[in-house]
Amino acid sequence: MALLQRIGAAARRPVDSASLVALRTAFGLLLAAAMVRFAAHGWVDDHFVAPQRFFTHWGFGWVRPLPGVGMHLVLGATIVAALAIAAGRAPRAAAAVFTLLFTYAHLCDVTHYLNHYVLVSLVGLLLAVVPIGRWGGVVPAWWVWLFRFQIGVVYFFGGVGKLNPDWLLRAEPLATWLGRAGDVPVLGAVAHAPWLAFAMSWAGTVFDLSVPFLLAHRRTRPFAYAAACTFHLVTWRLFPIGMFPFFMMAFGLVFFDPGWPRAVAGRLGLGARVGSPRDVANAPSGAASSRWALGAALALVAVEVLVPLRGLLYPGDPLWTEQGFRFAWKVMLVEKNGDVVARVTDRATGATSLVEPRELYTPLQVRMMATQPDLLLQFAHAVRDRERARGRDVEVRLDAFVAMNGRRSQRFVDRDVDLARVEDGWRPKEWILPVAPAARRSLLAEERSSVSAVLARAPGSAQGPSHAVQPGRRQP
Amino acid sequence: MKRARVAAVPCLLAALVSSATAVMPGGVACTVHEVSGTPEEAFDERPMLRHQADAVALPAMRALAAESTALSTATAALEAAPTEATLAEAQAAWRRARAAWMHTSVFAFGPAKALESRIDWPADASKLDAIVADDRELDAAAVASLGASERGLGAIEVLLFAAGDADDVADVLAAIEATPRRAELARALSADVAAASAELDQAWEPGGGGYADELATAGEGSASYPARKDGTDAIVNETIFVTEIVLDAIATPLGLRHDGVPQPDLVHSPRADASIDDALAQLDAVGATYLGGWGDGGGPVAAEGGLSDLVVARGSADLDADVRDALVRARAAVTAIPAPLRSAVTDDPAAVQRAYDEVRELKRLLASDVATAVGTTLGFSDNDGD
Repeated sequence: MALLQRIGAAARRPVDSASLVALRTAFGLLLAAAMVRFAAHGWVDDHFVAPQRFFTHWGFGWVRPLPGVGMHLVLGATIVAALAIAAGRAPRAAAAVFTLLFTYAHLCDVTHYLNHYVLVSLVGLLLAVVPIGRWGGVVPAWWVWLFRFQIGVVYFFGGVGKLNPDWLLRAEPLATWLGRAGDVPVLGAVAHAPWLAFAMSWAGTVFDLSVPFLLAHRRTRPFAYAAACTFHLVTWRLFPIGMFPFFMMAFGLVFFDPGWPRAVAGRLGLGARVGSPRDVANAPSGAASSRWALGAALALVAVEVLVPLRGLLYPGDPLWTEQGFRFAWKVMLVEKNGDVVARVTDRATGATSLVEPRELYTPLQVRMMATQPDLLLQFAHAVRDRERARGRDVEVRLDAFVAMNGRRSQRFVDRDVDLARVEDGWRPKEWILPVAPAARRSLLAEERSSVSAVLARAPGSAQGPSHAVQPGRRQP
Repeated sequence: MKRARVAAVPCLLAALVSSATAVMPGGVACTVHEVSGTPEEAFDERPMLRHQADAVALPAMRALAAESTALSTATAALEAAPTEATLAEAQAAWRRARAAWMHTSVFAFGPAKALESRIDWPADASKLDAIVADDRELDAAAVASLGASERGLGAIEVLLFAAGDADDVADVLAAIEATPRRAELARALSADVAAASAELDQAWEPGGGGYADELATAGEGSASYPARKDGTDAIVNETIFVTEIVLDAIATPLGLRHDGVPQPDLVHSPRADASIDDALAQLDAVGATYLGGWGDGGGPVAAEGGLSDLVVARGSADLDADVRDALVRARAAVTAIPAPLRSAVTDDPAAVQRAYDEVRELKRLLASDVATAVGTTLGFSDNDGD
């Protein structure tokens, strides 16, 4: 009880709001830049204008992109709102507008789901709800904790996601990706080495699982933050993960002492201009620290802990089934590609046709859909609905094959299940076929041979000849 | 303080290992995929890209330019003296040019994007009839103003070959004699195809636009391909796309999109009946890219520098063998279709179905297994990942 009281007192303790103001400013600037980059790449048209149909999140099938120039206007509005957030102009209203529009845009099509978009929406929500105020103010300490939790949860569950056999025992998909990084300076020389993929896989896991706690601890914080920056800069160089590393490096500063921006400003000789906080020691905790606010925050924390764990309730390999995969911070865990075609049977005549996904979706949508069961189900339903509009009642079955993390392709969904009659929901998708034992068979053998190869290879030892096309296989 | 530093050790070590291992010089390499148990060397994509550019793409571009010029010459001869011989030669030249174009199909990115609608596009016969019927000048400027469905090899096919089962030579010659402007238009369009093909070739030539170098130097100063894998991935993605085109060319007339009811009129080459040749040429393009080169007979042959090398280097020798077999089977099955395709879909649908199944298998291997084995980046967007 005494412990809870001490925690409660510490949580209500007024602290300098400077770190949250800095985070808000960084958020606004980074997101404004990200949105400008989004527009410059032509992604508004690619994402929202070119597709004829969209894949929606379960329960959000009603969300649709605005027609015409609507989505361009939405993007423009998010840029204006992001700049307002950065400038501290009506920051909560601006954050609310930004978060609403940003989240709306990314709910339009699951094809473009990214974990860091989810993080942006969640941080934006906090900025809209928490009255951080202006530079020079004070806030209850638990507000800062809330932001720290938001950042920490990304790392921690990112590490939890890495606790899987592919990542730890096969170093996949890192091995595949590093194997193509021959042109990265210095790294290219060793990119193919199995020890590198294994080292990075294991180290990445340890890093993700530990860094939020080490960032939270005052004495380890500088080292942990330096490690985080190094980690993010390397991953930014290696992988196409956009602005995510910069978000994390900027947001990670919230783990430092709440007055760190003021201390930095002081060292830069800007102390007089930036002012000093109000009397931190005697500032009232305020109504915003009420039981209601605290309760809402705890509810948010509970949701953010439980949602990533929901994947444990589903049978099968989550990397394969992708059930409980989204909103769980499962980052960079799969290299998957697939091929799918729908077999459509007219219930009245029994006649069967094939429907290629590209008849309904863009190439990018097709490629993303091919490996995600809920999107495959939406494809089947889109085919069903198109035929219904033509006055035909049809059965829809899929011939879907997927290859994952270096495995050979195998049938992905039950070819005999009529998906036109299957509805999406929370329940396990029993029509997803398990990863076949044959695909798993080589895991330990691979691991052993990889390790053996590493052990057997002394520095300077001769390597095998470079690959030459096998003789005898001359022509198709 | 000391205790705190100790506490940070795991994280620091982790970050340093995961990033410092990434900048550790030296060392040797071996893929982590050792399904076959045979360690492979680190694979340098540069020689492969150079080979793809110089030995696979450039010969195909040069052949296209040469065959298009030959077509232009042949149609000029036809216009000057419309006889059975000149018409037969123009038709043969068209077939060679079409096959040459199909051979470039795996490299239909970069300069080809802006030129493909001039070189080969589905034709609108009614629009061509209208052009033949009017009296506007048929110079280069006039041709340049035509729409995509009024120019290119597709349009020339409409002018040089008769529709359906009509007698190609007699009917076409009769049409030309009745309306000499038909041959004039064929000549003008052929000259445009030759010009566009020469432009495409020049865009790739080291002494011209240098796109071959652009591809070969991916990741090393190439403006189009910032990373080395971008160049390879462009080729991998295009092989998948070309296989899809072949699949569609078979599936649609076979009726697989139409309740199993054959659709002979929907063959890609309805007049010259070149659909099977088109499919074979496209499969050869995929084969040459995958295996590494062109043989003396114009077909693909194994050579160092094919995508095959990369697949094997990724520890997927079994997959490589399957892809090679799939290429052989797909080509054999398409060859086994009794020509022309538009009659085979009704006379011998089983043969066409076998071809579809084999090409489908090839596509599955390329789109699923190969793409995953080599970690191909999405070819349709430069969007961020994860």
